[in-house]
Amino acid sequence: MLGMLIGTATIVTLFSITTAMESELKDHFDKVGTRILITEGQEKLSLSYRGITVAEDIGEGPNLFSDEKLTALSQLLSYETVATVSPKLVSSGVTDEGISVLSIGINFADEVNVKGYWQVSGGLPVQENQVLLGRHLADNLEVDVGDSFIIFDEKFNVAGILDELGSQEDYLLYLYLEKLQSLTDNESLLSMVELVFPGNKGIEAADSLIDELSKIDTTLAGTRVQDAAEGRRVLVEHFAKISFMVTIVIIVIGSLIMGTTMMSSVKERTWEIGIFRAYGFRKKHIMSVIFYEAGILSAVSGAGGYLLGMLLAVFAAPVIADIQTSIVWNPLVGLWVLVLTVLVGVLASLYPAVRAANLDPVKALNYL
Amino acid sequence: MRVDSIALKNIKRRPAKALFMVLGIILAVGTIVTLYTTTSSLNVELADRFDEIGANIMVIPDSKEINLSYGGVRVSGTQEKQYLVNRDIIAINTIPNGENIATVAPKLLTPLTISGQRIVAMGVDFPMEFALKPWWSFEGEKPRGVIDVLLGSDVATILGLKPGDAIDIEGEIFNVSAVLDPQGSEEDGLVFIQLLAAQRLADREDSLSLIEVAAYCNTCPIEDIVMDINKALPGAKATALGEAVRARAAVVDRFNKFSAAVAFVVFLIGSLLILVTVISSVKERTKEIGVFRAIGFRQSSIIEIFLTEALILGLLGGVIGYIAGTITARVLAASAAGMEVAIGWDFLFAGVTIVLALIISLLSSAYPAVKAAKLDPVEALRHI
Amino acid sequence: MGKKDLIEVQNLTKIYASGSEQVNALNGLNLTIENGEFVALMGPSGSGKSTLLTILGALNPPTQGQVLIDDIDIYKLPTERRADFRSTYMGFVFQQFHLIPYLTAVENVMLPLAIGAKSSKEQTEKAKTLLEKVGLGNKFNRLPNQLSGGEQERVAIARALVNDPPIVFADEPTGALDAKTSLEIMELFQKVNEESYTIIMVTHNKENLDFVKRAVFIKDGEIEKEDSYERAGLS
Repeated sequence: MLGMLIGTATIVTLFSITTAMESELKDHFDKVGTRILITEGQEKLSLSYRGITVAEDIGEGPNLFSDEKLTALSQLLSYETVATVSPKLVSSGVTDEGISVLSIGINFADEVNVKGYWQVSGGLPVQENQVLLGRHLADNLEVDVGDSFIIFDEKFNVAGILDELGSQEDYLLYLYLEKLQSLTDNESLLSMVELVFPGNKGIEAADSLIDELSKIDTTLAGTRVQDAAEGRRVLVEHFAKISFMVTIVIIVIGSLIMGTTMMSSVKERTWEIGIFRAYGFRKKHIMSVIFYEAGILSAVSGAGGYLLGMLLAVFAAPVIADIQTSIVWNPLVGLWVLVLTVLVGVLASLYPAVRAANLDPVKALNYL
Repeated sequence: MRVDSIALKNIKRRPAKALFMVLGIILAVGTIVTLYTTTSSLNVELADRFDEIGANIMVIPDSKEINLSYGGVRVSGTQEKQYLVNRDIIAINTIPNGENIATVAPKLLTPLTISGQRIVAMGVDFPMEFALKPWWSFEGEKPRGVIDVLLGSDVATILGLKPGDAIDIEGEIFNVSAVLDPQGSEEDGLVFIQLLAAQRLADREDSLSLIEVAAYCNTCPIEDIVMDINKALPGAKATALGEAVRARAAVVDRFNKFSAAVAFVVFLIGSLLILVTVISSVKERTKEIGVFRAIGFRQSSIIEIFLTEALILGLLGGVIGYIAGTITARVLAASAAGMEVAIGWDFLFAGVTIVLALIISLLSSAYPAVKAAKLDPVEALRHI
Repeated sequence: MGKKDLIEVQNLTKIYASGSEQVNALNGLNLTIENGEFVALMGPSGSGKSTLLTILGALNPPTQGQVLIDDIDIYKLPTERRADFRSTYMGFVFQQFHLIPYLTAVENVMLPLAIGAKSSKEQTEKAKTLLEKVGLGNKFNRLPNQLSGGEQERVAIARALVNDPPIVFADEPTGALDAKTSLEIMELFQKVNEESYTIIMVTHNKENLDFVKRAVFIKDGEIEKEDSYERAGLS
C-alpha cells in the first residue's frame, strides 16, 4: 500500500506544480497581452528610432484628437474583451533652468497595467503636482525622489524614479493626464490611446477592433504593436507543451510504481491463496476477493496519496519554486486520481491473482 | 567463506529477488535522471531561444544630451551628433564573454532624399536585423542584394510603393524588396537599406547611430555583458533593456524554479521508492537473519552482509538507472516537437546520482537489517 | 571442557504476552544437565519443552530465573557477547532445519566458521569432513532445495557440529522424517554423543527414547518426572 501511496502522491504533487506554473505563465502573458496603439491622422514618417532622433525637419507635429472619441471606441463590439485602456497626451515642457523635457500625461493606474516591467524607486504619483521621472532624466535634472523642481512654470514634486530601462522611457517625464492637458491648453485632447487585449485570443480581438474602428472613424487609426512579446509567448507555449509531456511521463512512471507494488503484494499472498484453494474455494471466488481488496486498498491509497501529494505541493512549491499562486484543490483531479489508482491497482493485481489461483494448491502452499 | 562472499552468493543464486531490488533502484534513479536531465536541457534551450528574440542590450554613443522624440513631439539636445564606429561591432563580438553574444545589429539613422521627400533611412545589416526580429512579417522577399530596401508600412502608403517597385534614393535606383506589415512603432515610418549603402549616401562611411544586441544570459548575467561592452567601447553607453530583462525573469526564471521543484519532488519520491523496495527486500529475510544470529553471528557481521549486497545492487542499479535515464531523456527531447536539444553524458551528474543512490540503498538496507539483527533469534525465526 | 554440572537452570519462568492474553510457558523450573549427557525433553504440545530448549540455547531470554552454563550466567551477558557464546559453546539443529537457501551444503556447514579466523581452505576442509561423517560425501554442492528432508537434516547436524561446540541442541529432529530415516538420524546423534558432545533434544516420539540416556518429562511448564536409561556399551 505504501508503494501505491507514493506513486499517487508523486503524480498529484507534480501535476499540481505543473498546473500552477502554467497558470502563472499564462497570467504573465495575459498581463503583457496584445497592444494596440490608436493615433490620429494618416500614415506618418518617423524621425526617430528607439528614441534616437536624427531629424527635426521631417514629419509633422502630432495631431491631437478629442477624448470623446473614446466613448465611440467603447461602443465597438470587440471592445468587450479589452483589459486596459491608457490614454496619453505628449508634449514638451521647459524647466526653470531652460531644459526641455518630453512630458507624457497618463492615468497612472492604467499605464502601469500596460508597462508591467516598470520598476519604480519611490512611488507612483498620487497627486496632480507629482511626477514620475525616467532614470536619465532624473540624473540630467539632478533631482532625486522627494525633490521638487519647476516645469511648465509650476512646482512639481518627484514622487518616483523609474529604474533604468535602456529605452526612451529613461528620458521621459510622466504626470497626470488632466494636469498636462490643462497646463498645455489641451483640455480633453489626446495624442494617442493604448489598448491591451489579454490572453492568446488577444491578436484576434485586437485585429477585429482595428477593423471596426477603421469603418466607423477615418480620422483615427489603430495599429497592433508587434514586438518581441508575441514571439516570446509562442516560444513559451511551445515549451509548456513539453512540460505537459513531462507530466505524462510522470503519470506513467507513477503507475508503474503502483503496479509493481500491487503485483508483489499479491504474490506474497500466494500461500494464503493456496490454503483457500485447498479448502475448495473456486478460482472466481478467490479472484473476486483479490480484486475487491485491491480495489479498496487502491482507493484508500489513492485518497491518501492525493492528500499527501497536495500537501507536499502546497508546502514545497512556494518554498522551492517560488510559485506565488496558491495551489488549487481541484476535486475533479482528485476524482481522476482515485479512478486511475483503482484502475491501476486492480489491473496490476490481475496477473498475479490469476497465476496464483491457477497454481496447484500444494505448490501454492509450498511457496514459502 | 567470508562475509562478502555470502552476500555475493545470495545475489548469484537468487537472481529474481536481487533483480526485484535492482529494478526498484533503476526505476527510481532512472526517473530522477530522466526528469532532471530533460528539464535542465529544456531550460537551457528555452532561455537561449528567449534571449534571441529581440534585443536585450542597447548600445548608443555616450553623450550627455540626446535628441529625443516620442509620439511626434521632439525635444532637441546638443546639435553635435555623436556616432559609434564600425570597429565597435567587432569589439562587441570579442568581449571576454563573447560567446554569449547572439546577435549584433548595427544601425545608421540618416535623413535622405527618397522619392523626392526627406525621409529617415535606417542602414542595417539585414541578416542580423531579421535574426533579431523574428516577429517581423512582411510582403515581398527578404532583402538580399545591395540595392534591396525594406519599407515601413506607412512609408509605403505615403510613397505609393509596393514590393517589386523601384525607388529613388539620393538619385540612385534601389529595389523595394519588401514592405513591413504595420508594427505599431517607428519602424512603420522608416526606410531600411543596406548599412554600407546608407553610410555611403550619407557621407558617413564609418558611423553608426546605435547597435542593438541580443545576448545569451544563461551562463552569464546580463549586467556582466553590459559591463564588458562598456569597457570595450569607451565612447559608448551600453544598457540592458529593462523590459526584456523583466520578461525573462518572469518566464525563464519561473521555468527554472519549476524544474527545481520537480527535481526536488522526484528526488524525494525516488528516494522513498528505493527505501521501500530495499526495506521490504530485507524484511523478507528476517528469518534468515535469525538463523545467522542463532549460529552466533554478531550484529555487525550480519549488517556487513546486507550492506555488501546493498552496495553491489545499489551500484548496479545506480549505473543502469543513470544510463537508462539519460537515454530516455534523449528520446524524449528528440521527440519533443523537433527541437535539437543536446543531452550529453554528464559525468559529474552521473557520479553524484550513483553515489546518492548508493547511500540511500545502504541506509535503507541497514535500518531493517539492524532491526532484525536485534531481535531475539527465536522471534526472528518465527517470521515467515 | 567444562565442569561436571555443565548446565544449571534455576527458577526458570517464561511468560508470553500477546495483547491482553498471557501464557505461562514455564513455571519456576529447575534443572541440571551434566557434561556428556544425552537428554530428551518430552511432553505434550504446549508443555513448554521447545521454550525450555531455546532458553537453554541462549536464544530466548527468560522472564525470570537464570541459566548457568559452565558457571556463566548467559542472560547477564550483553547481546553480542551472548552471540559469541553461542558460536563457541553451542550447535543448533532446528525443527525446520533453517538452512540458508542460497548456500550449498558445504557452505551451509561452513557458515558458523565464517565468524572465526580459519582460512577459507581450512573451513572447506572441515565442512567436507563433517558432511562425509553424516553420510553426505557426494552432495557437497547441492542447494537445500535439491536435498531430501533427511539429507537437509544431516546438513543441519553437520553445521551444528562444525565449531566443535560442547553442547548440541536439537528441536524435534525426526519430526518431519519417515521411520527409517528417523532411525538413521537418531543413530547419528548417538554416535555424536559418544564423541563427548552433550546433546539436549526435544522430541515427542517415544521411540527416540531408545537412544537417549535421560528423559525429562515436562507438563504445563514444570517438570513432571525424569527417567534414566542404561545403554549397553555407552560410557
